[in-house]
Amino acid sequence: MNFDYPWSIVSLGVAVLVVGVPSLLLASRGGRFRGLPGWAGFWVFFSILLVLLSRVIPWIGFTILGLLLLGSLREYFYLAPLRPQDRWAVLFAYLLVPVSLYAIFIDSYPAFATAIMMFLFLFIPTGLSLGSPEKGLLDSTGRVMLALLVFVFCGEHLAWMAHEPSGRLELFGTLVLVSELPQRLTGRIRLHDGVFRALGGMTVSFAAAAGVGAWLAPWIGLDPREGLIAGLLVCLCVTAGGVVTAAVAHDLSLSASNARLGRAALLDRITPAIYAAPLYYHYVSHFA
Amino acid sequence: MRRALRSFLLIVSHIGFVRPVLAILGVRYRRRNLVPRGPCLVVANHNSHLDAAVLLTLFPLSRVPRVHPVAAADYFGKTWFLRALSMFLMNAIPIERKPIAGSDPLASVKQAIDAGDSLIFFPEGSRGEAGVVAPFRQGIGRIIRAFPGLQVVPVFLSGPERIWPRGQVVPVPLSIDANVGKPRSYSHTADYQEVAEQVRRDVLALAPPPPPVPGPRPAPPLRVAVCGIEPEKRRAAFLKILERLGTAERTIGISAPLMEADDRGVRELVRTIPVARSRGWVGFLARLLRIGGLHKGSKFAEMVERARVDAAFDHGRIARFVVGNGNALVDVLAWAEAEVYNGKFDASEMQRLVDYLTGRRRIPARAWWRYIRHAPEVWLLNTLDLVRPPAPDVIVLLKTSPAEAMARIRARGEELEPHENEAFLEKLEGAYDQVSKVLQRHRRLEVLEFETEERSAQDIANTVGDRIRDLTPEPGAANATHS
Repeated sequence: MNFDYPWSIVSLGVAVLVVGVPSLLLASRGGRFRGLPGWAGFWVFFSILLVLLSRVIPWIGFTILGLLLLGSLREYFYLAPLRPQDRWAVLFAYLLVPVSLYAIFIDSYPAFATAIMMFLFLFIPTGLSLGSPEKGLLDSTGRVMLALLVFVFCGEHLAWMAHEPSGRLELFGTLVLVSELPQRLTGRIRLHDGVFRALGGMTVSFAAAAGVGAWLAPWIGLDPREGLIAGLLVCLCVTAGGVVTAAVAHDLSLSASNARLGRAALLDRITPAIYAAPLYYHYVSHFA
Repeated sequence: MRRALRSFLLIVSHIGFVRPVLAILGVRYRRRNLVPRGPCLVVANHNSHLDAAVLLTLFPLSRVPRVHPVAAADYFGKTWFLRALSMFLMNAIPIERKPIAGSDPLASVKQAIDAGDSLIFFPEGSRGEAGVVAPFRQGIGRIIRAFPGLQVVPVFLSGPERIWPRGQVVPVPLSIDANVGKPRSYSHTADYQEVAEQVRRDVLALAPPPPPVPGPRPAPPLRVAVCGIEPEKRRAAFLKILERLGTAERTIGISAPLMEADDRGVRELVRTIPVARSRGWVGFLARLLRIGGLHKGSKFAEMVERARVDAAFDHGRIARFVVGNGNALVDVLAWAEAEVYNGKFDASEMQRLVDYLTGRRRIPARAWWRYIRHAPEVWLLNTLDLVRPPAPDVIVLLKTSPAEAMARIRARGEELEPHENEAFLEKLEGAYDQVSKVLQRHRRLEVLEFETEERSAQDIANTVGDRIRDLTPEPGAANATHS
């Protein structure tokens, strides 16, 4: 029996199950556990997307990924509003998603890099600089650039992984989940809120991600050492993604008491998930 | 036949175009279930052409043919395209904004209400400047006066003004929030303009806090907590302090009702802060844990809601001062001291309790039973993370002799609560004193003490106002120092 590709899907399914059960059990405790079922639900959808990207006709997965990234951009720009004259920069940011996804679809990294550079360094700064000379240009530029880096550049590396040998996307999903669960349970690093507890969660997540990476790597054609390094890299990026999300939420004054109809939930779930994609992709495709 | 065909086309256009477009934009409704099943008048702020479409989606598809946005005839009647768009896609009723003398511009609107249809009305009359809610015109007052008992549903829309504001050709996809308020009817004897003002206040009450814009963040508001054992004197001082601070800058008063004060005076914002249905069980739990005890379950749920509202002003974009008739953090600490610790409330124990209440630390599982038995409020707030009550910057401590407080309580003629006895009030008075002293030492807050028998509420408010003026830097002072 050839377990070559089903095992990667099974491992991802098991990871989602492992995340889902404690999430439902712990949700009633409130506090940081309150959002766990929503996070687990997002991962059910996200896992299906990863499998679609990896196994099914690419354009279906690409379309769903594109819609997800556009939705994330829309939520982000709603929560982090720009100046009224920055409308064209927002439109350019939306436009970059299909343009760069098409470059990935035709498997041309130069076209992808060109599209990103043209928009990031030419169209968007120009769009932001035109219009009335109102204060706040640098702040607006920072807001748009962060959105493009996270939701377009990082997110679209998931699509790049669709061109890789099968199993690598599922391994990525499994590693992200293994890295995120302990950190979600113990809480993220905040200066005044249980640094030691968060450090404990981080240690567990690094150990778990490295272990699971080394264990699953042989099934997708990597050796255990490469799987271990991939696990550590993914965990590092997931931690960084969590820290960035928390800092952005703090900067935008988003908290449980003033969140606007749960608008921040999608960003909270997707950012750590896609933050690790570029590093993982370049490691497994060029160095492993 | 013609009406049926029109209804069919309207529903098809909604299924095939309007609702998919709004789904792409991502409309989220809050309390959509409040829209009545019978005829009603939906009233909202107006900044974009999208507003009417969003409000139409509040209704189920089957009702859409009987819902009419009211549109300006001079604008939507300009070209056949606009006419067709508004009449067939949006099912609008045209009204003249500048009617011919002697004609009733609202005749078609009244006809529709008489026929049992629902209306969508934008009392500002025009889209206006993005993000600004202009004064409501008298027309809304006229309709309400003409139909006593008509259910008016206030809705606040946020998002459309950024997607497609006036003067822009291309809409930018962003999200939309539609915040639906409780339907109500208005007095049909009041003046048109007065009714219009009331409706505007109801719509504005649903507005979310403004989103942060690029630039430096405003400082959090300065919080003043008025504490003491005698409710009537506390309330009198609270109102006067609110009024006094309101004359300097916009001030919010956290009490029941929620209040607002500025240079135009003191006003009610919301009569009672509604306890969310989902948090009803919190009151039940509090009752369960403290059978026959001091804190009524419903009071506890109210306190949680008030503290949540208080915390929501933290970003400082709405008000410079927040005055509380009591403060959840101080009150819970004082009650814990009076009930549980009986004078043994040392600074380290209190710091621990402050950490539990503000969510900085979790109560360890081994201590749960102790807190469930003695201070269930602290346990509930911490374990369920119900709210992190904000600490005040200034505590106004009103001192009243327990005998006088009891005399006033008895004068109400109501049944006495278990805690309303002289001995406990004396303990509580001492507890407030001790709690404020320890908080002052550890959290650098200001405590202003007043004997209520010697000082009037106005006198207290003046002293507090002067002290707060000394505490708050003049606008621009920081920049002057830097330069």
